[in-house]
Amino acid sequence: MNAAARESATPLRSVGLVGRGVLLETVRRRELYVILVFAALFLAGVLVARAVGIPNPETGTFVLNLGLTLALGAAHVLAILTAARQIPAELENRTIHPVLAKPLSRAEYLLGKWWACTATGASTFFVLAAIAWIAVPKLEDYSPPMLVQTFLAGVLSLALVAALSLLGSILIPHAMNVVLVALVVWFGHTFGGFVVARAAGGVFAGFARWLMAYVPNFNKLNLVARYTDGIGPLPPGEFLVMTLYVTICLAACFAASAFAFDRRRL
Amino acid sequence: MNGAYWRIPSLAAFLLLPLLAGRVRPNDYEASRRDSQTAIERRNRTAIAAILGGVRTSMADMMFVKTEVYMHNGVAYMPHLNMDALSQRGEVVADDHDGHDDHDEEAYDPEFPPTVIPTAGKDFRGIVGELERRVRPWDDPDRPHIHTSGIELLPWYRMMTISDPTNVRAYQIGAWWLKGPKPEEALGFLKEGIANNPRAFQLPYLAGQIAAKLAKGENGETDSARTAEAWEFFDAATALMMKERPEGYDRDHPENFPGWSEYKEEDARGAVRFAVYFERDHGSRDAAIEKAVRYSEFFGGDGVLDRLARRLENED
Repeated sequence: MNAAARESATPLRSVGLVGRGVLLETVRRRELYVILVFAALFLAGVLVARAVGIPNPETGTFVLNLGLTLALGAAHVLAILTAARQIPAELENRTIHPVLAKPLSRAEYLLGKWWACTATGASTFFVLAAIAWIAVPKLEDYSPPMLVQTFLAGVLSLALVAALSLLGSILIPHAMNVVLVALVVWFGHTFGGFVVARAAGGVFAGFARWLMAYVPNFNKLNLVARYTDGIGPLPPGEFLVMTLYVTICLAACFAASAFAFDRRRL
Repeated sequence: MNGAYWRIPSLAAFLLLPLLAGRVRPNDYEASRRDSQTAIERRNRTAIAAILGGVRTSMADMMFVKTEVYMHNGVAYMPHLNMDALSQRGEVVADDHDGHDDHDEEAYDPEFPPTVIPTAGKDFRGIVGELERRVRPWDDPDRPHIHTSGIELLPWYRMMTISDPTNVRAYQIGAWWLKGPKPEEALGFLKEGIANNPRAFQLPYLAGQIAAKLAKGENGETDSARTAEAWEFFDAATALMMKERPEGYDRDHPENFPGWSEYKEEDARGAVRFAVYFERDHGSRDAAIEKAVRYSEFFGGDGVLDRLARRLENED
């Protein structure tokens, strides 16, 4: 490698280039357009509802909640699908070999994939949520700082789901990974509640509560209902704790992913 | 990124995650705009709600529907949540049949709901309809319908509370059915509910009733430990209720008080009345009068409590 090449191959630049490849590929995939079609259908539905008339503030809030929830859900679906296929597809197409032959560590490769998957999900969330938010008339009071926190928490949630999907893609088959991560995202908190409730009052109650805390609780990162309920923003301390919670989960996902990926035969 | 030095601390931090997880509770707030009874009814009046229909039905709602079928020995009656009323007037509960089964054969209602499978006179399907009436659970809707004991419903309520430990209504109704045959288990069920929903005053209110019943022994003696427990439950219920009930709640305009419903208001008044009765029976008359007056003032006047206070004052 010459001096210019060595200089240009800083870790940050390498991570950026890997991610850029993911973004370019995502734009070419059909999932994005399927989700955009759904967004267009939702928009058409809201516009029809507006034309017919939204008769009371409660219905306006209901439609707004529906729109933001759908936006967050669709973004999660896209983030899971995008992240889960990255490594299996590169292995199958054998494109991973020339990439890793470059001055790029496996951890950097994972980091590049992760930020791009997060960005894909986040941009989908922003676009769809903006469509919903603009289209639906705001007939009740909502806290603008809470809206900002809702978006930030959504991005944290997408970052975590992308990291979790990447980890799963190294350890288990693709389809199983997608299903498993989706189950954790949408039913993880219910499962945790189920186990804790079953153990309640018994000798293992504390253990069950402790164990289930390791299952990432995406329900805690969904602030849409809090926003549409007209509740104020979380105090900075609480939001910081939430961010720390996600950061620890992310760091653990990366550590486990890097560990598993280093030992994986390509 | 090449070094592995960051991996061990990351995994170590993850091991301590449960210490942090319990502190992340962004959706733990009291007044929920969307769950207000008025908001639900107003939403349900709209065409959008009618179009979305069953999509909005939650798992818990489906289980409530299931419990109704079980309660009628498998005979599918038209839901008592009247669908016409729901779509036309937005009434979520069409009558006072809100899980407390208080109608019987004597109280036969001429507008009694028909069965899902129609009678022979109203069934255009002829022999096919006759076959269905004979093969599937069916009873003539003109006859008073028969209820099971409710015990068979209990697994459903258990399922509801397991799948959603914050389902206060399921704890209430499940314990209500259970308190007849197994009051101890009903009390345990409610204690679990209280642990999962420490702000729901309805649960200690019901637990207090059950504990009070258990305090009365079969031979007329009083169990002092149970009495103390009932006292604690009633105190907790009234304290929680007084904290949660919006100030100046107006029963004529519940739409101005999101997060508080007429059902909660009924339970709230029931909780303080029981607390006063309990004080009268197990405490002092003066304390009961004081509580009756204080609680009545809190509600801006309560006929039952006012009458009780007057009666106690006139007693020798």
